[in-house]
Amino acid sequence: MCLAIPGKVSQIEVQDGVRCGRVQFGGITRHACLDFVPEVNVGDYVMVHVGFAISVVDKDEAERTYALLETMGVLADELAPGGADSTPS
Amino acid sequence: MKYLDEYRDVKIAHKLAAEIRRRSTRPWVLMEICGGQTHTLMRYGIDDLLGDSVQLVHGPGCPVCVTPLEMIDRAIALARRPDVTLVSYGDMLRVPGSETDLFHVKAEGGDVRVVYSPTDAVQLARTQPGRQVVFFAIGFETTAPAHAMAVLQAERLQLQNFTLLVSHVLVPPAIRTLLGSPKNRVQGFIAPGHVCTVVGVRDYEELVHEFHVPIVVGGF
Repeated sequence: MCLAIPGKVSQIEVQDGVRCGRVQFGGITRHACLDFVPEVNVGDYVMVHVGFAISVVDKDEAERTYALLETMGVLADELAPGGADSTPS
Repeated sequence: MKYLDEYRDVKIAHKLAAEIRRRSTRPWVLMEICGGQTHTLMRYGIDDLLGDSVQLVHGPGCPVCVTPLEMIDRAIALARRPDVTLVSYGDMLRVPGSETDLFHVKAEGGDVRVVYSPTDAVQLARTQPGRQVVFFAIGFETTAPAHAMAVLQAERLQLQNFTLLVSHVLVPPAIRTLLGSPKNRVQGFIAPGHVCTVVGVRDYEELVHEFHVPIVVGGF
C-alpha cells in the first residue's frame, strides 16, 4: 500500500456522485477514484495510490516508471486485492 | 517521477557518487523517511556507492510499522466480534498486536477482509447491510484523503453500517520531534514524494527554515 502505480485512464464515469473510472496497468485494469484529479481525461496517465489517482503524469514517464516498478517486482503486491485473503472467510 | 533514464545511467551514477565523495569534507548523516526509499537505496547499493561520505539512517515512513500497538489490539478486538467485518490493507494482517495478529484472528473464524482501496470497504458495507463493516484506516498523508472519500461515499449512500478505525500519522511532526531531540544526529532528510504530491512542501520549507536543515523531496 506504500506505492503509487502509473496507469492509463481508459474510462471515466460518475458513480454515486464520485468521479471514477478504469485505469490500465500493463495487462490489468482496475477501478480507481478520479475525484482528486478533476483535470484528467480518457487517455491520460495517472499515479494511483490505494485506488485513488493522486497526480497526472506524462505518458513516457508513466511507462518508464511502470517498467521500473516491474523490474523491482513490486507490482503484484500492489495491484492484487490481497489474493486469497480477499475471499470471504 | 522524471528523468528515470538519467537516474539509471551507470556512468552518470558513478560520476555523481565520485563527485559526492570528493566534495564531502566531513561525513553526513541523512535520513530517508519512506520505507520505499530505503528499499531502493539498499536494492541498488546506493549506500555502498556513497562510501563513508554519507551515512543513511532509515526513517519512520512505513505506515504499517508506525501503527500503534493499541490500535492493532483494537482492530483485533473488533475482528473477533461476530457482528463485525474488519476490513484492512493486506500489509496489516501479519503485524503483531500484544497477543496475536489479524491473520490468526481470521484463521480462527474472524471475518477479516483484505482490500486494495477503502472504496472496496464501502462496497462491502453496501452489499452486507446486516453486518458492521469497520475499515482499519491506517497510513500517512497519502491514505487519509482516500479514507475521507470513503466516509463521504458512505454518507451519500446513507450507510448505517460503515465505520473507520482511524490511525493516521503525519510526517512533519515526526521530523520535528527528531530535530528537536538533543540526541539527534540527522543532518538532512529525503522527504517522501507521494506525501508531498498530496500535501505539498510548505511544512517542509518551515522545517528547513526553523532547524536550518536541508530537505529534498524524492521518490515514493
